[in-house]
Amino acid sequence: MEDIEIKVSGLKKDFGRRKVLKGIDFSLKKGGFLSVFGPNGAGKTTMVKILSTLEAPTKGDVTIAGIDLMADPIPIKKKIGLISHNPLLYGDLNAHENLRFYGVLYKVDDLESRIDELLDRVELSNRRYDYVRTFSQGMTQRLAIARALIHKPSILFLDEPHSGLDPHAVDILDGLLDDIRAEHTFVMVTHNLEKGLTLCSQAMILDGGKIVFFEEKKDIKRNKFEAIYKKSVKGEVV
Amino acid sequence: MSLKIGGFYFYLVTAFLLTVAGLIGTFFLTPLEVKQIGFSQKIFYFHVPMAATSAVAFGVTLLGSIAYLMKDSKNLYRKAIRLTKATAIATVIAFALRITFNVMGIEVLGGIDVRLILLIASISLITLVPVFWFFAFLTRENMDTWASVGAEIGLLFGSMLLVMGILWTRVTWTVWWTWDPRLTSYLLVMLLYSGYFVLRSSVDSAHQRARYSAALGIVSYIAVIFTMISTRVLRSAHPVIFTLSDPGVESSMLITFIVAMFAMIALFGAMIIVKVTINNLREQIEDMKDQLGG
Amino acid sequence: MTSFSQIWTILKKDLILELRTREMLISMFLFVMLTMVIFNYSFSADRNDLTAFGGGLLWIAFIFTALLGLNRSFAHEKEGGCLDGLLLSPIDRSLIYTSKVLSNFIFLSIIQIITIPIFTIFFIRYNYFPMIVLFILGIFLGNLGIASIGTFVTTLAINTKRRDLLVPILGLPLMMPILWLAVTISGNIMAGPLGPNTLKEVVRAVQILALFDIVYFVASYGLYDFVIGE
Repeated sequence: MEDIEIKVSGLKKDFGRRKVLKGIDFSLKKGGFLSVFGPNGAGKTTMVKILSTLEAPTKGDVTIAGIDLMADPIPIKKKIGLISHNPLLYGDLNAHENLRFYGVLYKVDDLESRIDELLDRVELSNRRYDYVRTFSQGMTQRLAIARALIHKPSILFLDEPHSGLDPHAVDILDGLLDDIRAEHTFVMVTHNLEKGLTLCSQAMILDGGKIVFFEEKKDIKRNKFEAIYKKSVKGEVV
Repeated sequence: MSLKIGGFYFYLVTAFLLTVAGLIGTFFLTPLEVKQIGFSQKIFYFHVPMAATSAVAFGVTLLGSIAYLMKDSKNLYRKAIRLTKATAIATVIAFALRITFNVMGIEVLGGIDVRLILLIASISLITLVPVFWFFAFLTRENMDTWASVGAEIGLLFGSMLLVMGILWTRVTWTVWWTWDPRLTSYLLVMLLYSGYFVLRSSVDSAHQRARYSAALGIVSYIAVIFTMISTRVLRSAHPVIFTLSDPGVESSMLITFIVAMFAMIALFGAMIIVKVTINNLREQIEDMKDQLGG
Repeated sequence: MTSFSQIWTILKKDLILELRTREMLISMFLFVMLTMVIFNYSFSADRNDLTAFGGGLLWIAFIFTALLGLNRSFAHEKEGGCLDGLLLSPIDRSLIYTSKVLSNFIFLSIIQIITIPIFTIFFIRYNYFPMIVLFILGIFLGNLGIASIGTFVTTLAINTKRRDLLVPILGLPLMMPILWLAVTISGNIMAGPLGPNTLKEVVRAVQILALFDIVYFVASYGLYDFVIGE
C-alpha cells in the first residue's frame, strides 16, 4: 500500500442553513498534486480552509499524514503551508520582520539563513527592510510565498495562487513549485485550466459542495473534463 | 429523532396544583412574621423559589454548554491537561498571595464560611450529576438547544423576580430600587444573559453559534457565582430568612416554602419541555424546507 | 521554555506595530482626556473638587477607553488576514490569548500612567501619595481583570456580525465586578485618610479582585480554543 498523505471522508460544512460542503470523500498519495476546479461558491476555499486547520468541519473526518486533524492539529500545522489570496502579512512590519515573526512561531532552526535564502529566492533581498505596506501586490504575494515556505512544509495548500500575480511573480512561483515538486504534496485551487492540468497528478471538479469529477491525470479525457467543467461553471449563473 | 418530549401535562398540572397549594399556605396557614418586616415577608415563599429556579435554569445553560463543548472537541484530553495546568498555577498564585497577606498580617477573606461552600458544592454536585448524565445522551444540536432554552427561561424567571423584588422594596424600604449588592448582582445576571442572546443572534453558522454561546455561558455562570460570593463577603442589607443554623423556623413556613419550591420547579419543567419541543419542530420544518428547495 | 518565547514573539510584534502606528494609544489617551473635560462640565461647574467621586470617575474613563482599545486590539490581525496566519502556526491557541492579554494590559497601563497624574491634578484635593503602593496594586489588578475578560470577549466578537457592538454588551457586565472592586479600592484611597474599617474593606476588595483575576484568566484560557477562529 502506498502512503496516503491526505484522507478525507464524509466531510460536511454548514454555514447556518447553507450547506457549503455536502459530503466530500477523497484521498491523496504522498507526493501527489491535486488540482481543484469549480465555479465560485462551490466550496473550494472552504475545503482548503478545513484541510489547513483554519475551519472546523461540521461533520466528517480528515486525516493528514496519519494524524486526525481535529484531535491533534499542532503536529499537522508544522507540516502544512498555505498560500491564499490573503497574504497573511503585517503591513507595518518589514519583510524581514514578517518572516522572522512566523519563523519563530514555527520554531525554525537556523532562521536567519533560511530567511536570507527565501528572500533571495523570491527576489526581495534588496527590499528586506521596507514595510510590506509599501510593496506592490506582486511583491506582497511573493513575500507571502516565502512566508508559507518558511518552515519547509511537506504539504502545500494553494488557494488560487496565480490570481493577482504579475507575470514575473508567476514565473517565480512556478519555478519554486517546480523545485519542491518532488518531495511535496500539493492541493491547489485554481481557475486556470492550463496550469492546473499541467501540474496536477489528479484533478477534481467541485460543484455545489460535491465532487462531480475526480480522476487521475493519465485517465483524464480532455473533452469530457471540459464538458463537465463548462457545465458546472455555467450552472453558477442560474 | 423524537421531536416531542413527554411529561408536559404532568408538569403543568403539578405546577398548577402546587402553586395553588403554595398560595393557600402563604396567605392562610403561615404565621405573620413579626420580628423584622411584617406582612410583606410573605413574598418570600415564592420569591426565593423563583430565584432558585432561575439559578437552576442558568445551571441548565451551564451544563448544556459544558456538555456541548465536551462533545465538540476531540482532543478533550489535551484541553483537560491544559486546564488542569492553568488551575494548578492559579492555585499556587492564590496560595502565594494568601501567604503574603498572612505575613503582612492581613486577614484573608474571613467572611466566607468554607463549610458552607463545601455543603453547597456537594449538594449541587449530587443534583447536577444525573442531569449531566442525561445531557450526555443528547445530540450536539440538542445540547445547544437545551442551553439556550435554559437561559431564556432563566431570564423569564429573573424578570418576574426583579419585578416582585421591586414591589417589595417599595413597600418595605419605601424606595423602588436600592443598589444593594444582591439586587445589583442580579441585575448584572439579567444583563449578562441578555447579552448571551445578542451573541446568539449575531452568528449565522449553527455550529459556531453553539460553540461561542457555550463558552460565554460557562464564563457568565462563573462570573455570577463569584459575584454572589463576593457580595456576601461585603455586607448586604438583603434580608436572610433562613440560615442553616436557625432552629426557630415554624414547620408551616418550611412546608409552604418547599411546596412553592416544587411548584416553581414543575413550572420550569413544563416550560423547558414545551420550548425544546418547539425548537425541535422548527428545526424539522427548516430541514423539510431545505429538502423541498433542493 | 519555548512557549514563553512564542508568547514574547507575538507580544513584541503587537508592541512594535503599536509603536509604529500609535493609533490605539493616541485615541485611548485622547478619549480619557475628553472624558475628564466632560466630567468637569457635568459635575463641577464652579469648583473643581471631585475627590469624593474620584475612584468612580477614574474607572468610568478607564473602562470605556479599555473597550476602545480592545475593539482595536485585533485590527492588525484582521487586516491582511493575519489572524489566519496566527491560527495556521503550530502554537497553542491559549498562547495567543496570553500574549493578547499582556498587550492589552500594557496599553491600558501606559494610558493610566499618563492620565492618573493629570486626573489627580484636575480633580483630587487630597494627597493620597502615602497609600500609593496599595493604590497601584488596585489599578494593576483591575487592569489585569479587564484585559483577561476583555480579550476573551473581543475574540468572541471578532467573528460575528456585530463585532463592535458585542464587545461592550458582553464585556461590560462581565467586567462589572472588577469595576466595582477597583472603584472600592481607588475611590477609598483617593477620597481621604483611611480609617481602620475602610482599610479593612480596601484590603478585602484587593483580595477578591485578585481572586476574580485568577478565575477570569483561567476560565478564558481554558475556553479560548472554542472562541477563536471559525
